[in-house]
Amino acid sequence: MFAGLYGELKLHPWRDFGAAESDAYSLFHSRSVAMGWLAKATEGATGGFWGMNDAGQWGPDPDAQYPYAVWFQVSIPRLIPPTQPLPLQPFLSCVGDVVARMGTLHLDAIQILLPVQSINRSADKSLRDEGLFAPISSAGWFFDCNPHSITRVQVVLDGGENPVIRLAAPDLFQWLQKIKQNVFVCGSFSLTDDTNVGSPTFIDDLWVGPPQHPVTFYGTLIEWSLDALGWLATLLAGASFKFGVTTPMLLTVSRVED
Amino acid sequence: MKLEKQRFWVIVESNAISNVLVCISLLFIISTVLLVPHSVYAQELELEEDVNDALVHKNHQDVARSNGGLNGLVATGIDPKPSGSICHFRVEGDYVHTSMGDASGHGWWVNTDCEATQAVVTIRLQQSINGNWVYVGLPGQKTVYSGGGAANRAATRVRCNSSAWTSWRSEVDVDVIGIPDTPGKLYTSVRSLNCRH
Repeated sequence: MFAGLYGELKLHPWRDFGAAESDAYSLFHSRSVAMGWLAKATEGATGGFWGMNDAGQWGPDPDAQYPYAVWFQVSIPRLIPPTQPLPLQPFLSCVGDVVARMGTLHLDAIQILLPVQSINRSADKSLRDEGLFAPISSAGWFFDCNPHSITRVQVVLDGGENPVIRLAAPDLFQWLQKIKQNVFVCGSFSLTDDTNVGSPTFIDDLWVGPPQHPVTFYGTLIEWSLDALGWLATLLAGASFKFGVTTPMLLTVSRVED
Repeated sequence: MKLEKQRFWVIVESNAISNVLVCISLLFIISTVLLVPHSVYAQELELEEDVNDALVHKNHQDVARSNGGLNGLVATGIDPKPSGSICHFRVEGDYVHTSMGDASGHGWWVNTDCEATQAVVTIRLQQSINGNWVYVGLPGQKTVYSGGGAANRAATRVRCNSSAWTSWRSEVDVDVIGIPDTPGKLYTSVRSLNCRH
């Protein structure tokens, strides 16, 4: 999994950049350990959702046209049964905790690699919908959010070399309109990438990039938070798998100014 | 008188038994107070003189067990005298991963109760070729404080020359400065990456 956050990260005044003892990497590692989310990097280790890879500010390519303000990269150590959600919600929760520890982020957009390839395809096909149980059943977490927090968003799913998401887009759109939840309300879609977020060429080796088969969904998110974005990422990863996608996808969510 | 004589012999006999017990006690005290500490001291001396900054005795067992399933190798060292006590630290590493066309890994240490403050952390990457682990690239080495925080990790990376699926792992070695410590290394979980050097 990979999450790159665009925007301005204003560090806490007591964190002197360059002299602070912690950084995005060490904070993410510590938080992952504390929450029981870190898969240990030793043979035979069990438990945990992810293994630590890397994290930082203004990267991974500082020379990129649009480097992320902060970014995080982890690996999923084992296949996830289709009955379980991909651990995107805890991943973004961990990211949110780290960012809050570092400073205040004005988040403009986020890019997340959805590790759909980590869902165990050999499992019974009748279980393909089961991974969607978690996001749909947990939508109640967002009940009673501040109604003024509802945010218009553009959501781009890109399959990279794999065009399946474009073929599945009409079905996915219909399904999104049909399910009973109001965390992400989808109004329309197009088979283009309508965002002005730069294409990250520097993470192509993590998936089947570069981006070339996009679908853009338009809608509203119940609040512009990493929590809600984690929920959305979990939903879209599960839904993509339901409609036949089995390779990683790049999810880009950006705010649409009113 | 007879009675007195008998009592005398009883006393003498009793004294002889007591003397034997006293002798045995003295031998026990001498052996525990003088000989055992000497052997412990000799053991420490031998470690310090013979293996120079690396323990080689029973800690091998810890290394083998720790490599089998703990998060980070639980390693030990001996604090400087006068305490001279066994202390503990952990060797930590992350999953070898791809980053901008390279295979990459990080290593660090976490001090539990050693008096030392810095360690030399060395990380090397290995890829599996025909079932054999082969070192690739240059080692990353850094003298760092404990904790793995900012600037306190050793890192190394090596270019992916092809995208062939290959198994990777890293070897992390921690040499705590100023104390003899376990020579064991941490080998991280094997990761299959579309990267071959």
